[in-house]
Amino acid sequence: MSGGRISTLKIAVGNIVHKRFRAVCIVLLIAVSTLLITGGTMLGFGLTGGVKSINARLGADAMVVPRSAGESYEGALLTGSPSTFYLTKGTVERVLQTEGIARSSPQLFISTFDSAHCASLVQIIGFDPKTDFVVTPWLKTASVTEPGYGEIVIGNNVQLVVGNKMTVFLLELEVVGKLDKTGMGFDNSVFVNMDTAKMLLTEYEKFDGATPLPEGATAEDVYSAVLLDVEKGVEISSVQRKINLGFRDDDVSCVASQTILESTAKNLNLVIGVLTVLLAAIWFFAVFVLAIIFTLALNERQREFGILRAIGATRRKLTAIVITEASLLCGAGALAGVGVVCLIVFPYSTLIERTLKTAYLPPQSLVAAAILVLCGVGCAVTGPLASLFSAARIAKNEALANIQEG
Amino acid sequence: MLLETIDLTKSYERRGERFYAAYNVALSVESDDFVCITGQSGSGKSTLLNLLAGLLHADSGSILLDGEDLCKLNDAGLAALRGSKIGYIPQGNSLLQNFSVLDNVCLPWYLTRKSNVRAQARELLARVGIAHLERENPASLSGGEARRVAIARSLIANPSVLIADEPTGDLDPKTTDDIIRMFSEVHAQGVAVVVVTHEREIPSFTTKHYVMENGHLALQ
Repeated sequence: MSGGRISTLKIAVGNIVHKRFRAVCIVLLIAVSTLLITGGTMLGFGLTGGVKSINARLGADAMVVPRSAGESYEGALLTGSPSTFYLTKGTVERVLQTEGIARSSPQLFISTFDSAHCASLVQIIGFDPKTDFVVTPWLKTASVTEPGYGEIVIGNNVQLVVGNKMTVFLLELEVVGKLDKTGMGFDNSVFVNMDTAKMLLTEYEKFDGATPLPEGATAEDVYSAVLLDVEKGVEISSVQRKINLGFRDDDVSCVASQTILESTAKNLNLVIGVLTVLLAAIWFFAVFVLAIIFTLALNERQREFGILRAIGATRRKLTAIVITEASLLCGAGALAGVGVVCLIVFPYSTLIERTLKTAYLPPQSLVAAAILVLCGVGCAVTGPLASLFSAARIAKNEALANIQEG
Repeated sequence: MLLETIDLTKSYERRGERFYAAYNVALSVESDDFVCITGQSGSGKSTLLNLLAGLLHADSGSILLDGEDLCKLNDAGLAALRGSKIGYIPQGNSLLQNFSVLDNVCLPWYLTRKSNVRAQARELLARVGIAHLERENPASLSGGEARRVAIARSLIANPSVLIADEPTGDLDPKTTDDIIRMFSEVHAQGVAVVVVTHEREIPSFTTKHYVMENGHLALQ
């Protein structure tokens, strides 16, 4: 290198340029570590956000669904895997006579088709605005218009905007609202009122591949689920037990919201725990590997440092050179890692959500930026940290020893 | 007196036994001296030179440079001294491969100061006859050229004393003569020179000749 004053930075850059292969290896190591740590932290935050979102959105104490559709219901709720299932009106009426129920509201779940009949494969959730106590408050909080007949409110992942039309079973429905991200199946769902839902179910039944209605029933005679709140002072589990025992022969299952939340939260917390341990291990591994690399590199450069001491460099100067070099390499690696995270994690977050098949709410922009900065800085400091031992050792040596060892 | 050592002692432990590389050494260098130190391998010549340059800590005794005791200076003080009053040329090729010839010459100056010194560095390269190599990488230089760069580098801070450890050790006779002539020119310009060298290379203009044997220094 030539030209300009020779600062500590220039000496460090000179050393880096002179050992390109080693520099590239260190940058790659830190870039991969940063990618894993930042990506993993984002994932952890997304899963935690998902659990919180379930807690906030499951506004009922319990749900009654067909026993055979238990998994489909949970899938529709958590991941938005579209499904269609039925409870007959008669069964619902009998279930609602169970003692201890304070209020209830039916919902109808219809899956669209991945074909020319429909714009996209989504879960349609029909709710009854007269009795609903779960979706309506949520729409109000988000300042979203309640859908009228022939209108839809779409989840955040549905690629339409308010005012657009969406083709469902060859009918064009107008989008009147779009919901905020929930990290749950609701993001891939379309909300309609019960009248629209019944009309859509009638259309749905006309297509091949539709789940057939129970024998003798029409669209007017079925629901998919009933959301329940129990009376004050009544245990949810006691109502749940009464329904599950009383309707043992009717393909009915009562699921407590808390059960869904707890089992999901338990699984996610386990994943988050394992993820945290793994990320910490990756970080320590990076520090360990870098410490070895720097120790080997500095041993190899004893003579160079001895010469620098001999021509006037102080110990502090040598330490500054070593730490600047490590900081530059690891800073570049961390920057590259963060850059790759931005290129992969953000554009493909929807794909990640779908792949995970669980509630996943990516962190908001500010939180995401904070994660990027903190993880980037955390990974960038691994270099200076790992080089401290070697820097201290080389600075402690007598200059002559450095020259002779080289 | 420019440089003086009083009862200077430095020892190492080797296989449990104390070995004296310098024992009660008394050396004196005037500002117009050209001092040669000779002796067999392992006699302690390089240790003495490195003690004089403040690169090693003495066990006991004093090293006075312009009346200032090097043994009482801290690391920063010694480094500042090496970057100003002492020009040091280590054994062998001591150029940093990451920098051009010109930058190698400038380096001692920039380690302690911020002002620009490139013009002086170019002058020095011209004085040692290699101005045309200023942009070259040290790896492309011959042994003699590398030694000339090291001499130019040692002079960049206008030192009062130049200390060189076997500067002609691995050079052919012709290049050795050139380098010795270069030292004589430096000496003629008022810089005291202390050189560790082989007996056969002692120049005629040497003012003092010391012989080192088993850590003991004797004036011939």
